[in-house]
Amino acid sequence: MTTTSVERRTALLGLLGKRVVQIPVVLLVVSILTFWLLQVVPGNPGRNALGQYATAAQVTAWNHDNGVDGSLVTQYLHWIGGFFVGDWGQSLVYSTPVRELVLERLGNSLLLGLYAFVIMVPVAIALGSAQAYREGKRSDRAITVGLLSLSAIPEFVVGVVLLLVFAVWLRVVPVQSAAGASGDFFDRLRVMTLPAVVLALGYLAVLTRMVRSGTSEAITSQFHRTAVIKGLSSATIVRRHVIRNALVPTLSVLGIYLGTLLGGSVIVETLFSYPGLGALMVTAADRKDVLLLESGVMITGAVSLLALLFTDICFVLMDPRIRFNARETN
Amino acid sequence: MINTRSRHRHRHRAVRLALAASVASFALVLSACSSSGSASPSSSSAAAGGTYTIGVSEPTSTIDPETVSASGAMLIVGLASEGLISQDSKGTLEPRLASSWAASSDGLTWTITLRDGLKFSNGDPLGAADVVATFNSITGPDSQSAGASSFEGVLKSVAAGSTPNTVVFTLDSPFSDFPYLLTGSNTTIQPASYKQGTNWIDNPVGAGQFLLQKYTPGQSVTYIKNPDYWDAADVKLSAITVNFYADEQAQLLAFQSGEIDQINDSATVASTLNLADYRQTAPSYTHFDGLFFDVTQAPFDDVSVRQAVAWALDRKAIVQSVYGGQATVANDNEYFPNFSVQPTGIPQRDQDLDKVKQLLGGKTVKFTITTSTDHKTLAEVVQQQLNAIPGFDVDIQVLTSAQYYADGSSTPWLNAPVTITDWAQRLPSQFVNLIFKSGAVWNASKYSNPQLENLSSQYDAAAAAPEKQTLANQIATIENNDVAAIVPAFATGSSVLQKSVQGDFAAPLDFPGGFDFRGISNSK
Repeated sequence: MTTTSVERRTALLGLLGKRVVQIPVVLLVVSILTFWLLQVVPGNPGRNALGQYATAAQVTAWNHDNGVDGSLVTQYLHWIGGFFVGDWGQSLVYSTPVRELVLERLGNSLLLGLYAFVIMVPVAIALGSAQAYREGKRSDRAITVGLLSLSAIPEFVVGVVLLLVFAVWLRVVPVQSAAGASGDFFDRLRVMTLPAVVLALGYLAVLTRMVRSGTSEAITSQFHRTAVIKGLSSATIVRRHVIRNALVPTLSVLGIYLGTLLGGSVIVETLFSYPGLGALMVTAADRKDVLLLESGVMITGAVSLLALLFTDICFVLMDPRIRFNARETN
Repeated sequence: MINTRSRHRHRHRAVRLALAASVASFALVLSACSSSGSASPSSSSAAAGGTYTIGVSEPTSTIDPETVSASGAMLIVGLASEGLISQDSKGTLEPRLASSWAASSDGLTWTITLRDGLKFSNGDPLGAADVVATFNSITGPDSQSAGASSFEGVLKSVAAGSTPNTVVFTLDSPFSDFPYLLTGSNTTIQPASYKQGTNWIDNPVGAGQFLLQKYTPGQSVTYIKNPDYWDAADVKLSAITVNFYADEQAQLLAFQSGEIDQINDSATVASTLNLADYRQTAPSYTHFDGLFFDVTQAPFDDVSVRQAVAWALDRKAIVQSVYGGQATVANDNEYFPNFSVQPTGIPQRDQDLDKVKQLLGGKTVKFTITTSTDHKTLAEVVQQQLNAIPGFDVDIQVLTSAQYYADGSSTPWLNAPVTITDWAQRLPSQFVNLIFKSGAVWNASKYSNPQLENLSSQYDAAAAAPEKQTLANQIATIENNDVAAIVPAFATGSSVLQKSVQGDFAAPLDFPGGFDFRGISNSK
């Protein structure tokens, strides 16, 4: 086994060890805070369920029947005990098992997030690299201005404009993305395209700037000059020296974005009526559906933390300094 | 110079062409992804009558026939279940599962006769036992149905009649408008085996015009025509889809794209759509937003102050600015204009500043109007109108619905000195019993008037039209003079329909109207 492999494995194991301890602690704290905060905001699940004309006695009876009365500690312990053994309870709003609902919506959000990610990353890398190679030129400035302008427009404005063009005028996609979310592959792709584009546009400007900055730094570095002088082909220089170095700072941002994208975007899901986890959690918070919200928060939190962990692992694997050190040692 | 301009023109043209080409190719790609070739939801069960798609906000209440309270949830339940009687758009009673009804000579019992051969969607026969079980469940001691309040102090018992198809409702006292109570919320007939709060949506048995096929939380509900419906021949639609949208804007976009077939008319809808390109249903009365005064607290313990506020309001301006013209000016009583009996002989109140000055007698009245975000516009308009008149210093407090309708003895909607709360259409005597009767649970005004209660009881018992008219005049006069609540306007609602929708709705799509789709088809 080479020193590089040992170093990388040690770094990875150390990272994994830390995260294995940190992630459950963070999730536990988040679940307690969520449970407590939900009690602080005004509203009563029984009143939400039965409406304003139900009597106080009927509301109390409903809360009792649905297990949302009693002390906070008892309710929390009851929920967390069930959560760990897979009994996530019944949604107060949807009268459906929470586990089924959350996992189905998580799947939808993961798909949408990944789709947005797949659109965003290549475009950002292509644009950022092109800008770096044409730094200071008109096209560089045009892309910067264009992307910054796009990022300054709120998601709901971009979304509405896209809906007006593609759903209302051209009628090639439905306004309600849910309509095709359970269809075949192409139907899903069709209904997810606009939400994914809007999601991707929200992050594209910053990501492109990061790629541009990293690439710019890489192509002005000594190792780049050396590679050019050595006579390596442009493709090899870009593949082996530029991208690897340029993407290291970008990766940390990508990790955060990946977590956010996978956890569901409330605005985009709401705008396109896309059945994702973000919109579900807004409903749960609004209607004080505590079991649904708690499970949703735990799953979103876990996904975000795992995305960060994944990024960290990629970071360790991609950092060329480890490889450079290894070659030196060899 | 000319060359430069020409180059610019060419460049701009090229940019425009490139943009158009991008949009077109993106649209083509999206279009190619569509297996159906259309953005509109397709139905596998498309037939002669077509499929009708409705957009609603996601239900905020339970989806259970006896406890449902939100309009979206009522629609979901109402399409698959049916009551004994409904009301048409003019408020006339229409037989549904019941074929006829009659009161005893003393007015204390009502006998309802059911149609022959009624069936639930699971194939079981619907009979008197199911009707009895339904009303016992609604009014039982453990009932969580808000509909129970309509029968409190009215219905003594319900039992099967002497023949298999009859049900006898025995009342505490004579009530000539009792059949109207059978058109109210939560009164659709359920199988005797039904239990409240046991996830009706998982087993949606009913006797409605449609069969609930699939409920997908947060997405949609799909229905197909119920072949066993008692009047199946007149139900032309083969399927209905109810889609959930986040807000009115999403619904509007969906309507513009042809994804849904109807949308509630509103100021936003009217200003966005060219209504000439669509059909519109006749407007019907929906609710009033009442301004309730706590008559036990100063300054509203003085009837002159309450009357001064009533005379200070410009109701026509309220109708225009708050309701966008979709309302009728009201006169501080609860007789909706489509109700069979209308009070007469009471002058319509309109803004009269001399009268206000005289009633206030030079003093300045300072108060805060408390309401929920739903009625913020009305509160602001009332505040502006009153503060423009010497003698008023009005503030407003706008709470979220959860805060405004919070539970507990100090809930704002029943305890703040001045509140604005909406009330859906009910019988006039129901309003007296629910919001003006001494000790009534929703008496936000803390008002008490034995004479009014007595007249209301007499009105309920009266069967003859002239007697009812006289009593209605007396009741409305008291309500108008005492001003425990100001009713500035009766709001109306209508729907805008795609031109592909054929036929006329007999009633609005609500509980009293019985969600009646008979005669409607869709050529889309």
